[in-house]
Amino acid sequence: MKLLPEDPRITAYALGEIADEQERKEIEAAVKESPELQQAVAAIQEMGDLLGASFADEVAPELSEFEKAAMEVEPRNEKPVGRLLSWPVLSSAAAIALLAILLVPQLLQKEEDYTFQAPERADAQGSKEYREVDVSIPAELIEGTPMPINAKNLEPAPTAAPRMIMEMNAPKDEDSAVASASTKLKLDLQQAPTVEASAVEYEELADSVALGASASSSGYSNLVTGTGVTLSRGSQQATAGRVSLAKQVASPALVDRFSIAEGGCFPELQPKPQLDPKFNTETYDVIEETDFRSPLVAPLSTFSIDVDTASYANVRRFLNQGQLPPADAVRIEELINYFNYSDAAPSESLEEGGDPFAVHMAQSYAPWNSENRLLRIALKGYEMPWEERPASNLVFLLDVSGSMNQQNKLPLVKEAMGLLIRRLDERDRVAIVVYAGASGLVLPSTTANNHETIEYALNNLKAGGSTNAGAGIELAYKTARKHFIEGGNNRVILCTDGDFNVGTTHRGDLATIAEEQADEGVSLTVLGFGMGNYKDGMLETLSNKGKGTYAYVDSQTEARKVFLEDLASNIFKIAKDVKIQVEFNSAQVKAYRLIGYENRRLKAEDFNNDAKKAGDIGPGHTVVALYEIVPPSADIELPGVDTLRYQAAAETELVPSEVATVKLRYKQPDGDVSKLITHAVSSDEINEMNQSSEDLRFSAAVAAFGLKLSSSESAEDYGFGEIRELALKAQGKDIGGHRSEFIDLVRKAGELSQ
Amino acid sequence: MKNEQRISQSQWVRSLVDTHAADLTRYATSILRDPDLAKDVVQDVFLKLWKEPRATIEGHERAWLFKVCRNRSLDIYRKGGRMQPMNDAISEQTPVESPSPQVQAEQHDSHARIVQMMQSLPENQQEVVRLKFQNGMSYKEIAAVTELSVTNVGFLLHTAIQTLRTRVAAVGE
Repeated sequence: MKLLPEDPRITAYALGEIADEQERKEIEAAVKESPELQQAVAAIQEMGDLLGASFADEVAPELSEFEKAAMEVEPRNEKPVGRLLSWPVLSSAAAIALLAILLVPQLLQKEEDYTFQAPERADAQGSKEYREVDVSIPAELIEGTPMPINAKNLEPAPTAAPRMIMEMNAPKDEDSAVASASTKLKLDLQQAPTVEASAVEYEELADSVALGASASSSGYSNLVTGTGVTLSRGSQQATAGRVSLAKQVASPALVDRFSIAEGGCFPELQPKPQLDPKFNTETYDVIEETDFRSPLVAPLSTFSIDVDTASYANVRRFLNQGQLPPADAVRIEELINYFNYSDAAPSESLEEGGDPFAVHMAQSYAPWNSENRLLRIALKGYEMPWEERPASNLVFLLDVSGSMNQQNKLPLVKEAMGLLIRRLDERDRVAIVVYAGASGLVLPSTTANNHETIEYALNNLKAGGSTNAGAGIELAYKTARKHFIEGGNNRVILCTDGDFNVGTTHRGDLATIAEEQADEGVSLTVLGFGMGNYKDGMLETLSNKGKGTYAYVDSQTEARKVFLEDLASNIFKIAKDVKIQVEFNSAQVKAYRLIGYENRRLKAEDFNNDAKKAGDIGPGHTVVALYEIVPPSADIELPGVDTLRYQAAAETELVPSEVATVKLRYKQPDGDVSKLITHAVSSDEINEMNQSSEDLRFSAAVAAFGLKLSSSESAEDYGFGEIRELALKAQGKDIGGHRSEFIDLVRKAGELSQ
Repeated sequence: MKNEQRISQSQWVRSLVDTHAADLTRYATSILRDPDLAKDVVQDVFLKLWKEPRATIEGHERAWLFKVCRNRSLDIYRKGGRMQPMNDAISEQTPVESPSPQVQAEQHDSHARIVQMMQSLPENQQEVVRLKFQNGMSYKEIAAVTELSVTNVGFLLHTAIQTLRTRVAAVGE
């Protein structure tokens, strides 16, 4: 056989693609005789190897366990599945509206008056209305034999009670004894007569009416567990009801800071007649930027890690709406930690005595002030294979108030839960607690292999009613504790838009509960949704105290990140109480400051105190902290202290070549004793910004962005254009497209700030 | 295959997702240039798998999945979707300097150059090259996925490799 090197059969032969044995032998013989053909074959194979290796460089899109779960879902016949299911609300919404109007005619009295005059607490005893509501709980929902509930005729709580009272006379074994064809509930709906509002939409009305309307109209019935629920809308509830109405008044929206005001009481409302139409009812805690400190005054900087990401999503929402975010909504560490970085995971496994996370350090110069150094400390948690996860006892605490009834809220949660449940098995337990006007156990703690039971409960969740997070949280924790898994992942997952307007809404109370429960081993993950009346500060505090993650879902894209990409990181932990303490060397450092982490600061002595709690880190999490360091040569004014007169100089080691020592402490997820890791930062290990890693450059760009948005003076002269440029060059492989999205946000912020 | 007859439909789908989902996503991304969109496509592919009689797919699952994935991706691609021109994305993303060790950097560069050269090939050639060298498919499988004849696939691959060899040689000189 005579063959030319250009013959496609040579290529096929070189790639092992000649199927016919006879033909292959012939080609083989021809190649053997011709050096030219041999060369061609070798070159083709070489090219093949090169192509194979080049393609191998291409990062395969990573699929999380949950993304894979989403791909396995069996289609249903009625609707295309896999995307967000539509939520059947419209029909019941009309009914809610009707009932709402019947129940609270006072609400519509004066239609054009914006004045809100909160009554003194003592006179808040308006007219009472009682409604008897049929609540039916589908017996098949509950495991075990259906038993009728002894429905007592419930008395309304005393109206003088300052708070909503929620009594759950649960039978001893709530898992088996909860079922009834019909339960009579008597609701005490008390509305203060002075409520005035305009342009109230039916949904909001329904909100304020609570259980009465929703229970009867939307099958919102399987909420109730135990023998009875007493719901009373006392003076505070009445006020709170009006608060939620106030928020909905079309454009001159009112400030409702008081809804989570300290002390839990509601001050009088004195709205200004003219308010910025853009003003909404979101609340943020004040963030005070940390000033530079001299190591002579404060040689130690101590803080707890923070893996939250909520602030970034919230900032993005503002910018996408064409507004610069309020400075207090910007928590720089949450901006920085939103992104994935390619810092290497620990090389040594836990069995070999390795740490659950790797620590990386690098130095460059601050882009906004090239005199100053920038120290980047990055922690990278190991990726836990899904099969190695600890047994989980998860209690979902779902806000099913009317405001959650939007496509990008509760339906998203349901879909995500459906996916999660597909990946859990008989080792794991799942329970669902909902709260709105009342709270209840929709799904008693069930082993996760009972897919059908869980899915039934999920599919029957309905939204409606107002929000009483307090009682819901208590019930959720109670359920979690009851099924506590020793050494497992015991967690309450709160999904809410944060509008805690009834009941135990005092932030301190809720936070105390969360903290106590975290001490007992039940963590709290907070997933925030929605916009407009979002209570950022409260949710952040809760997740901090509850030792969990706080993420904010403002869009389906974000839902994909939170639920599909990051869920495992957010619901498991690989180390707890992770604290960082940096000691600065005054010979090398004139002053320093930690960028962000304002509300994560710890006292220096807390670092070695194992009783002092700190943040947890989840599998695959990256936590980044940036310090800006002023060199000794710099000329800056610092508040100092006088030379001390009585203190003997501490025993010091003169190590002029070191900038700082970074110390970390952490505990194993089930441990009580912390482990210490120490790293020294040498002063000559520093790179120019453009020589630094993409990760350092990108995190520096995010930090600069955060500083600018929080109106920090330090980044005043550094423009959004420069930030964008810096980020653009540090985009890297950008899996998930989060970095390019950031670059676009910088552009928007730049345009808005002009 | 006989073994698999006994596993349930959902176990079957699950095992296919485990084995192929990542490759399919990468493949769809190469067409759509949007990983999120690609994931949606792959999800659609597996939804379609449920509706297809299992017997008609078993034995050539991979080719079937890639074929459906290809058609779906191309549908979306033709509708416009949210693509951005590849060249812009690349030129903006390519870092100016590389901090990695020199050898690695050079290797990386040569790989990057090959990928760039490949992107100047006609689309049908790029596609078979990708299926062959990224997914390790046989001519026959590629033919099933792209609905071309085996001879045609062989010819496209051959031409692509010849072109790339010429260009690499030209750069080398």
